[in-house]
Amino acid sequence: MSRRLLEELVFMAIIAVILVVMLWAAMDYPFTARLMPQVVAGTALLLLVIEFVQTVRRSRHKPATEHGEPLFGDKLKRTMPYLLWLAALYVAVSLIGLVISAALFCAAFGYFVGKLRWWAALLGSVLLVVFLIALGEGFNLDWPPGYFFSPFH
Amino acid sequence: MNNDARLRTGRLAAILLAAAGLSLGVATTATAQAEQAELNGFYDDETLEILTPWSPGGGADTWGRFVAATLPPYLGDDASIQVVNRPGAGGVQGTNEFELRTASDGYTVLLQSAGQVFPFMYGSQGVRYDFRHYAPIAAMAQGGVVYARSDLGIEDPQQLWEADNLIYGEVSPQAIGSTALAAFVLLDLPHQAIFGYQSRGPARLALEQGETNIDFQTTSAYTSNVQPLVDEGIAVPLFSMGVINTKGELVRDPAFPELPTVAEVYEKRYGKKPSGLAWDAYRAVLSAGSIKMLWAKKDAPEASIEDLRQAFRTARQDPEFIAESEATNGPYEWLVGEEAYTAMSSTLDVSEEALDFLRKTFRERYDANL
Amino acid sequence: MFEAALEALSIVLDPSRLVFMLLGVSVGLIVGILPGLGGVVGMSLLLPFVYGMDTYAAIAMLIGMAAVIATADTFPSVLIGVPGSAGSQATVLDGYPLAQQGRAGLALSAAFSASLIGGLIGALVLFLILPVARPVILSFKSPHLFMLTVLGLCVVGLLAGKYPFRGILATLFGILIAMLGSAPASVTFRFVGDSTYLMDGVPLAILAMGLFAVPEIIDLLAENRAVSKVKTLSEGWKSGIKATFTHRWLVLRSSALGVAVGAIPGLGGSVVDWLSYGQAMHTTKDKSRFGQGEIRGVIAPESSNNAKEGGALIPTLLFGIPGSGTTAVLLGGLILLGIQPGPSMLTSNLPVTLTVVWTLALANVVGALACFLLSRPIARLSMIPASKFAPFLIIVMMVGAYQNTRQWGDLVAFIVIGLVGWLFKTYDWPRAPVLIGFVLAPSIERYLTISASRYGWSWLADPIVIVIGLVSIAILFAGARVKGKSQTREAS
Repeated sequence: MSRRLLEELVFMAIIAVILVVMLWAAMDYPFTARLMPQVVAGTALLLLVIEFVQTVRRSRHKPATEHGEPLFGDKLKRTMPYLLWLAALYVAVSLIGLVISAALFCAAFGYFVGKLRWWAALLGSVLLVVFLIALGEGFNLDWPPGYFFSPFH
Repeated sequence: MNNDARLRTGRLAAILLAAAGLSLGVATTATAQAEQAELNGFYDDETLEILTPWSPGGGADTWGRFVAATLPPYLGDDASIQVVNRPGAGGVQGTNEFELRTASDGYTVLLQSAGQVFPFMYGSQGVRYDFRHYAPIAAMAQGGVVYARSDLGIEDPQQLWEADNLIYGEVSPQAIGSTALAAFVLLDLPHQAIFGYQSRGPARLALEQGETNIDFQTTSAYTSNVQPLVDEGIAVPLFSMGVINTKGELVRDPAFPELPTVAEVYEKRYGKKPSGLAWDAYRAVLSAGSIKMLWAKKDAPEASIEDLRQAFRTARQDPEFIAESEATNGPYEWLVGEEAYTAMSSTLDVSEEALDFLRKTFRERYDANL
Repeated sequence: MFEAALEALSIVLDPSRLVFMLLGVSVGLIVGILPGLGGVVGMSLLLPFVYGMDTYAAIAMLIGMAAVIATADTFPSVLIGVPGSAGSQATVLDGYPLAQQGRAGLALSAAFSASLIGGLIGALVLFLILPVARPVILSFKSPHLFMLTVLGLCVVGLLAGKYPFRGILATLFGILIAMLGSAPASVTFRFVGDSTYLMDGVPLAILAMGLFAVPEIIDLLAENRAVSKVKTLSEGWKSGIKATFTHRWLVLRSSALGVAVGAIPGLGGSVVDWLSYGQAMHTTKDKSRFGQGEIRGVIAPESSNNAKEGGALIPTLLFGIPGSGTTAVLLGGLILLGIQPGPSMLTSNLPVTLTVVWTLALANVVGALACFLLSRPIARLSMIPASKFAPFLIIVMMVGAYQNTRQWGDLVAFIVIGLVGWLFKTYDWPRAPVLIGFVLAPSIERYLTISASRYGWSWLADPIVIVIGLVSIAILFAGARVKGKSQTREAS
């Protein structure tokens, strides 16, 4: 069994578990609230079993090299830096609010990853802040506040 | 377009175009020379926000926007009012925000309608607010009519008990139309209730299609969409929900003076005035479902609360304001201050026994946990 | 009625009102182009100004805004593969591959010209069928609407993705996601425990952006490239317009379909583009290019997408029942203006109705032209490497996400759904059906609950229900066989 096939089957198994939990949780609800989740989750479980079998059968027709790239391996390694960037952005927003985090994030990302000149990265983040403030004023929008400090809120 | 309106739209256009569609704020000029002698001037050159815990476009939002558009001249010199929408959890979210996060500076009032009142009344999870801790500003009780398909063969509400299989379409056991369900409970009228319609509109459509045969609509929807059906002979009006007046009594609906109220139907059928738990329960559900109201925080500056009430008192004496209000909201009274609280009190001060009666009946009849 | 129509045209063309229509159109363009913002944001921006305005000017402004969103949201669909709204999803299937081939210009200009014609046809059909639409809409009862929704879901599930079962499963997952939060017909909060954020369920805009944009950005970054896999923008703008005219019958068919489906309350706009994508595929001999950048796959959904606005206004105007979030706010605007939609829209309020029709037509023309002008500079985005534009896009989407309830839950939901979407993309599960299932879940649940509690089991014996059911099953089998064949061909 190729690594990719294994991952796909595990993915489906996790979904199946979620479906079972939903079916179980729905049992206590009144009829009007129970009908739809039970019909849908039940059908989905049934189809998921069929698709499980189909996925295994399909993979037999193909050599293991054509199964596609598994997630855990090179792909995750390539992607990890960007996921970490995202995580850093979220932490920053939760601490110092969106507008300042956005400016810092765009400047830093543009400089280190986008290989922009320092002035281009700076200009980009200044323009973004101007755009955000204009959007906020014009469309009466709010920004996520930070824990410590949240200007423009 | 009269001159004032042109002036207003002209200025509006200038603002909007100058900012390329990015401007905001409510452009209002004093269109009526209101009597402002008794105002404290709290809102002169200031903006009052009406916190509306729903998305724009619904019935309560429209009522709030009517206030925002028409009241400023009575509220102060160059005062303006802005509706701020904070939708979430059917109104509970925004009202919690008002309770927990809004400053008591007098510049924000809360718009109350069925959405937050039912969860409050039934003590649902997640409710952090208590209307009894707020200061009542102004309210309006709007009515509604119960009508049936004419092929049921009913012309008079007393014949309802002879009809076989009344089918009523409703959104959910906690929606505005549950007023009608509470009325059926009070009248002890056998019926089948179908839940799941998206709003009162589709429920009305279902009656036209014959999927249901008895229905309830609020005044505005009744006038525009049911009256034509009555004229065509498809539907017959039966009774009105009644309206709660300044003394907290149930009286005939001014929009339908010819229709009996639920209480009159009861009296005629059972030979006595309605009373007891079912009656308390009905009035609690009715005022919860039919009253729209503005509340201020109780610890807001005294001057702001006085000015707000005064503004409504002045406004309701102005024939121009009343005419506009009748066109948009129907012929209903503006209740100010304590009058508003009195009207709402059958919900806010409802007894635990009456609530238990409602919970029990709704569980037995509709499998609903209130 | 034609005399009245001409009179209404002169009302609409009054310069002071035209200005307001243009204003509405520009707001519509802005909220349409920015991912995550949509008609409801635009409407809530304009609504405060409506009260006390000249009735016709206000209507022109509101309709102008609503009409162009379906045109403007093509930009994100084609350029970053994110459906700008629920109604422009099918465009992604072929529009995004075209952008990847450096042919964003072709895709956009074909889309805008198709939108323009679709919008005009929508307005025309709205005008023609308004007087007779009432009995037709009344004939659809809950069981029929339920079956139609099921049919729509089957079509979507089959069209999206390589494997038929995964498509259908994905629609079911979408429905289950929509079950989170308060149940429509009772006072139960499902599957959310004590979370007040989830009591209202997951907001649609967040689901759409999370499912589509986050995975796309992550993968583009990891592969360190631009949306377009080639270095230059090829094919001019004229070829797009030419393509639309070459396929004029397709445009006509799709537009007619758009109006018809758009008019059914509850089913509304979200499946229209898929149905017309399906019929485009069905009526084309060589089906192999669909999904790889077939221009027909852009033209068909775009023309029906704009035409449906005309259809969706029918229940709004005739019954006062909004077909979508945007029309719900529009309804509020009309009530503020003192107009209660209902049967009177064909009698005493006829001038208002005709103003709506004309504004719809005019705004479509103006919106499409504006998009043409904007498309040249905006299409260049597909040439910029992701590492240069991704941070800006992420910020704009976070801002858009946060506007849904203005709680931190919005941002959390956005990223969680984004990561789940990334898993779906990685493992070859289609994501579009999830979104459609999600959008249609409330209606399908309502119709099922009502059918079951009103008619017991007897509704299953209704002839129309049986016919639609058989059609759905036939489509499923036929579709599964076609897919199965193409897979064995690939394998051999």
